[in-house]
Amino acid sequence: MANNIDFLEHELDVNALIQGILTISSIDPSLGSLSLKANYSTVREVFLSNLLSLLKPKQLKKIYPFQNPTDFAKTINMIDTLTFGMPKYNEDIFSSDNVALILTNTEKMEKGLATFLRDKIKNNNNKFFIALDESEGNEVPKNLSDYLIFSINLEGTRYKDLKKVSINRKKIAQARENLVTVEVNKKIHDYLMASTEMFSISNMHTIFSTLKVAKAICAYKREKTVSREDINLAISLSMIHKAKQIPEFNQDKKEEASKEEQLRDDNESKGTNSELKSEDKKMLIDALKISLPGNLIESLLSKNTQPISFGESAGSGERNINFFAGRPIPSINRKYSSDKRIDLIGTLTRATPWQKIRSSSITKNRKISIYPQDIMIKRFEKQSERLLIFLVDASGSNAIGRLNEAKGAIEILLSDAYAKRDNVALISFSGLKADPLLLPTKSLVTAKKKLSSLPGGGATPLANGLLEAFNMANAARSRNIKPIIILLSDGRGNMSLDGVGDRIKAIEDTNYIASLIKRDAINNIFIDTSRRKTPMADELARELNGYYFQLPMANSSSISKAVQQSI
Amino acid sequence: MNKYFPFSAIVGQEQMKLALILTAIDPSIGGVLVFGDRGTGKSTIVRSLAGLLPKQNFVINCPFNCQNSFNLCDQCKKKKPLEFEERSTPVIDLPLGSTEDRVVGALNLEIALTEGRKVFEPGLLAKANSGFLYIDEVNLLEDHIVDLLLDVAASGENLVERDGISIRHSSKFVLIGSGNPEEGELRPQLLDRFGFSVNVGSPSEISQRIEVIKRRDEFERDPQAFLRKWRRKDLTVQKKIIHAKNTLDNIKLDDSILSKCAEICIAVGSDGLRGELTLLRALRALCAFNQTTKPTLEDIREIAVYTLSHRLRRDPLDDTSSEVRVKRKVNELIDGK
Repeated sequence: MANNIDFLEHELDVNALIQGILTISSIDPSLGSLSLKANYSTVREVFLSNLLSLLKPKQLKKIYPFQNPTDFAKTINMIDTLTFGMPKYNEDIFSSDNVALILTNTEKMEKGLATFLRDKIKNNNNKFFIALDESEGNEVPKNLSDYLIFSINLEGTRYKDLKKVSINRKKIAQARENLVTVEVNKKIHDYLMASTEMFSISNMHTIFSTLKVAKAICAYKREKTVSREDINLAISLSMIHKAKQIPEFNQDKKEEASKEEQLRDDNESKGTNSELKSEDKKMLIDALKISLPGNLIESLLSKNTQPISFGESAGSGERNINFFAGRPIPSINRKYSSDKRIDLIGTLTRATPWQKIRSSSITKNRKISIYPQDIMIKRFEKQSERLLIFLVDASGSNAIGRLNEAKGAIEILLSDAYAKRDNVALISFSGLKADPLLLPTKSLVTAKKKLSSLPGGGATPLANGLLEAFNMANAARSRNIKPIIILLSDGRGNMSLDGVGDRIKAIEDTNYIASLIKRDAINNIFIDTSRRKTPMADELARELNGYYFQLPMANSSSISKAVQQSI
Repeated sequence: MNKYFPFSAIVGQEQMKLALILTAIDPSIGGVLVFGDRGTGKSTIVRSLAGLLPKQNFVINCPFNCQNSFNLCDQCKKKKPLEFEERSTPVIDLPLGSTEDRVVGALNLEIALTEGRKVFEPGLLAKANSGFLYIDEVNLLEDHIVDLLLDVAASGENLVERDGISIRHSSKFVLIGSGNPEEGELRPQLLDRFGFSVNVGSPSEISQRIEVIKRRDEFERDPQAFLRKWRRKDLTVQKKIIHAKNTLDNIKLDDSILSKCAEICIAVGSDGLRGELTLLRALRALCAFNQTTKPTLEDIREIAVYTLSHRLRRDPLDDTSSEVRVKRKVNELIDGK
């Protein structure tokens, strides 16, 4: 028989996970929420249908990322109301029991909807939420993902790995009764707290739901007190994927370090971790301010010489007219569809002049007759948002000379961003890989903090850095945010995409990624931090086809003065 | 059906609790802004507030929460005689994705369609009148809703001119905002509207954390019993709030306290005079709550940080905590004497 696995004993593969999750959430219905990371594929569809056939929800509803929370409240249904001439309501999906909700493309979800759903998940009551996540990285709004109890990643799962599992409903029914009597003793509390410390989890909600999972497992095993084993299983089911830090093992670290050692550039290897003193830094910034033109981002992007056309959305003041959110503007006569909202007054006004003609025998008992062509759709206007992706070269070659100058330049750009209320993200690359230090945010203070604690040193995986920025830019685009990549580097990449220190391959890879950026017409600014223009930087600039700019040498006398004073 | 977690049963977070209590005593302090990570109990505390606030007299069946006879809405003006009933103070949620219609109110479609009459359907601003308005993730609120709120908060009145409706009703509320600072900052105009700004974090002591988990567990297991157990403590706080409300006017602020407050505000460089005003009101409320007659320097030390730290003119990129700066200045000025 295919369904003889038991998640308590079996290794936690996809099948055991699904059995465990469904068992636990049937025992404690407040725990029914799952993040499912997978692209659209047969595997995912089969997985979902297996899951739903076990869940047997009374109702299944899909929620799309751009829906408005008001769509789910008990509101008047315009179309039905107008058709039947009496008030008809949308049903409030969240007030009914035993519902499965599928959240599609969670990574693109608007923050408002995410917050709304988060509250529903926090006070979950006999509903099962499945958040489909098709992102490359980690782009699901954190305020939602932090509250989803379970997580499954289908990456690497093949169709033949999926098995039909069953859940033991009899045992579940018993466990539900036992759940109230399950005890937790002090030792277990301490153990749980120690584990949360280890994974640096501070969200009390996560800690508490893990305990609830453990209690459900305990009830299922027909035991009286939660054991360490139960907690361990609960942690692996509902906590590990939220860990901010996975405890490292020393051995791995050493290996990595020695690898990095080999890859270091011969002479340029000295990491300049030393931070300038704050006064010196300020002086440096002042010096840079003079040498950098004011309002740099704007002026760079508005250059006529810019080879890429920015399409219809140039600059940040760009307004984007849409049908869901923003400042209301006059409505328009359009065909209705469920993603639009009807402007009732406008529709009525439009229909009024025709009432006499339309009051034929068929519609005699109606007070007012409205035809589809009368329908006016509400429109809104939103400022399109921008995302500045700072891609900072923190490698040894760059660090020794001008990392601090680059940091200064970014600070100036950040204050530009503040005025425009832009989103910012920060990626640095050095050593073996590119590191997204800061995912897109509006909090510039966080950006600055991350930036100033950025150490330098190591090889230059420029290609990796560009790839990371390219992915982030595309993710932003899918959310209707305009990305701009700002690269600060000397352009001397010496690591290929697969992490080999091979200069020739590195240049090839770098130029390849740069051509992708060019192909997708992603706005970019390349600020060259090398002392003089190198052929490599020149080629990269050509490939990127964005705006190229050489970081002016900060007035060296003022810098040296600063250094002298600090001594 | 879901009763909220009792206020007194919340472990720690004393600053936030005190800030909420003080605004409950004197709503003119102007609300509380709470910043902290997810899962630190921000919303739990706000929700628990409802069980703590004293009841108020409202006109029966008034959708705008009319209270006293000299500031009535158009509907209540026609009612004769006015009948009052005791109701608990409203704590209204303003969800992030709210449309303008929901916030300010709009034409009641049901009545418009079925009866052909023009009737105003009050929005959240009406519901929150004389109560609390809570915005979770306030730093992500859309700009045009923020504009609306600023306008209403400044005038205490909601003026609706839309859909062929023209209406004006009073809307005075205490604004409570919470958010996670990593996701974005708040506009200075809105920041200034808040009387207090408080930072919360998860309890750092393991024993406290365990206590949190234990109480939550107890609550979920048997909410009724848990509520009964904590009800008396909540009532004690409520009584103290009512008492403080009544004695608020008896608190004397002498010149030495006034000048100390002004000195502090000048020293930290807070924008405008709202800092001083809030500090004084908060001091008065604190005294009333502690049942003393005169504020002491220690009282100032206790609350100055929360009333001033968000009012400093600052470089948007400056990351030194303004809380620390205010604290240092306050200590200097108080101990220097």
